[in-house]
Amino acid sequence: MSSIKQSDIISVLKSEIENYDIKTNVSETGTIIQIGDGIATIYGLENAMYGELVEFETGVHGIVQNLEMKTVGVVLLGSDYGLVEGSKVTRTKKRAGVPVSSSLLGRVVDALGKPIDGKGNIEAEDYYPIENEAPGVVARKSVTVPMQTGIIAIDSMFPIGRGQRELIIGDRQTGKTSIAVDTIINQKKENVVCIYVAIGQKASTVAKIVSTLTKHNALDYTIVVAASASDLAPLQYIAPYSGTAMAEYFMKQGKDVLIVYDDLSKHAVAYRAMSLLLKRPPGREAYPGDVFYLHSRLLERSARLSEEYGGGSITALPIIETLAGDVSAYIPTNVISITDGQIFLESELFFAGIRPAVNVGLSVSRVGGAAQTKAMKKASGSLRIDLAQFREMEIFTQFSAELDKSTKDLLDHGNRLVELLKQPLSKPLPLHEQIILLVSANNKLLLDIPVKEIKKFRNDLIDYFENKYINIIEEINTEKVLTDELISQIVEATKEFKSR
Amino acid sequence: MTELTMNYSIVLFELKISHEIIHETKNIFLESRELLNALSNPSIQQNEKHSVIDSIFDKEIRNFLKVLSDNNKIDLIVNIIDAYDEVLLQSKNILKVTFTYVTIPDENQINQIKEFVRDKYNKADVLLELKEDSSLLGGFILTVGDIVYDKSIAGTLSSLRKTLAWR
Repeated sequence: MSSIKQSDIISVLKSEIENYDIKTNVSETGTIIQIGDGIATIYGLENAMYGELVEFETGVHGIVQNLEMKTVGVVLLGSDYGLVEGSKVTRTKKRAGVPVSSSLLGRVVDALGKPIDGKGNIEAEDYYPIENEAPGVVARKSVTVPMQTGIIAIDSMFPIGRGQRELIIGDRQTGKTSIAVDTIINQKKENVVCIYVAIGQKASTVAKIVSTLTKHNALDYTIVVAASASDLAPLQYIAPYSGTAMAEYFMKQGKDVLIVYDDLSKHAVAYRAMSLLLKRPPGREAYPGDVFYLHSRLLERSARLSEEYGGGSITALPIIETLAGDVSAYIPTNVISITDGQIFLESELFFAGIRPAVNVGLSVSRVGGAAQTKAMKKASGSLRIDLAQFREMEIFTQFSAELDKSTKDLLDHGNRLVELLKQPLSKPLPLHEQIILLVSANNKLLLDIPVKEIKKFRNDLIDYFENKYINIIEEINTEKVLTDELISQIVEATKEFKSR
Repeated sequence: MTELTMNYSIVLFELKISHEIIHETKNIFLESRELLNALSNPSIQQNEKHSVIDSIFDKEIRNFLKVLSDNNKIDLIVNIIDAYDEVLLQSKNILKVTFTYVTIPDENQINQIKEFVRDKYNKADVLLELKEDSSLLGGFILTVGDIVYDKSIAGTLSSLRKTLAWR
């Protein structure tokens, strides 16, 4: 720092001032005629565009949301302190947007892209409008590359592909955010840029997530966009769009992006508050008429681009919170119909100790199957059907004590599968571990192990493979195909481990 | 100015009432706050209000005021007449501009400004409203509708500040 002299700074300032071109400042202005609740009605601004950024006298910005005959309705993106009836408002002639650059990685920013983590300024490389058109039909390509979550229950039964939109839905306290955060942690070696958008959450929750990500060295490739519960409704409304604009910046560079919207129910609530204050007519559950479009235009921007368009992708994991497991409420049904599948989490399972509490019957992934690695497809095989049969049989066992052998085997197998799919927080499993465990389970090698010891058994088994059969692990990771020969090798090795 | 005042002002213009009467009406309302309060008071009977209007105002404008008071919009009357002035100017293709200054411009300068606005906006005539504001430090601000031409020292300083402090 000592190399910069005071005289240098002064001379730079001097030349800057001398070369300052004094132009007549032509601007288009309007006057506030009514202001309150973060909404201002402006008289004038006759040529203002919908969605345009306007500047108030105090330097606060706003977005034009309503165009009327003589007035425009503007939502404020900051404090209304110091603004009164008669204050001047100036057009900026640009649409609302966020600064984007790769130095955003590892940072926590607000809905306008300004840093809020106290780590200094972010150098902007470009300015992206928050509302952008989704990629068209020509630019897209079908989903073929997996997005590994590291959660065995999801990767085996409801695989997610890059460019897919998979909804995570469930009641409060069922581990929705944990699934998303685990997925981010699992992208460490996958060269995926992650964006976590927190909408209307407690600032303490966001701080906890940031510290979890830091602890697992996952913040380096992650951007956290936070519009917490204390932020204005308009900021909560634009936060997911800002996050997506940042995602698009990376997608255009051909990178794969994972974006988590946590959560869209609160986003809809913020939009409802804003719409009602803008005097738009309320509809069902007092949401405005365009609440479906609100989410569909957001999620439609997730895509996998074809090679000619750079080949990048945006994978979206929107989160929706239900009330008492009611998936037929307004916002849940909307988002379910927009996304390419959902992971349904149940509090009943969660409290029974089955975590992640994925309901196998109601969860589905509509396009992920094509993206699953061949090895995983073969290893997971009949897992879903086995679990479904197990659930069906489990109900019958409550009525009769007498069970024939085949039913008993089915129940034993099912119990062990359920145990196998349990997974602790922030411990994503790599592909090879998932495959070894699934192969040994499908070949009924776990049947003679007591349910309580499954957890220990699987840890020991993986250790054993890592020490003795590193060649099998390498073959799974490089070939990503599960040949019959490889299956028999895994089976033999597991048997060997058990007979020690 | 809301859409409602605009609509009433257009109606007022279309009634072709002489504008001396209209301005006299405005002055009456501006001078007597009590009259406006009485006419907008919902507890006073309609026919009583009508007889007040009949006894005070010119025959030409009575019906308009009665309709306004029946619709409970009489409190907008001053705004409506202001909007009417704009409609009147528009019909004559005259543009109203505001000129804010520190040192008062001479006749010649005023004519130049008028000519500039007339040519630029293609108007028959320009009505120039002069306003003094010493906080500008120097120069002037010309306001034409929504568009503001800022050639003041205060404005230049603030935009210089923005350039230097940019990010």
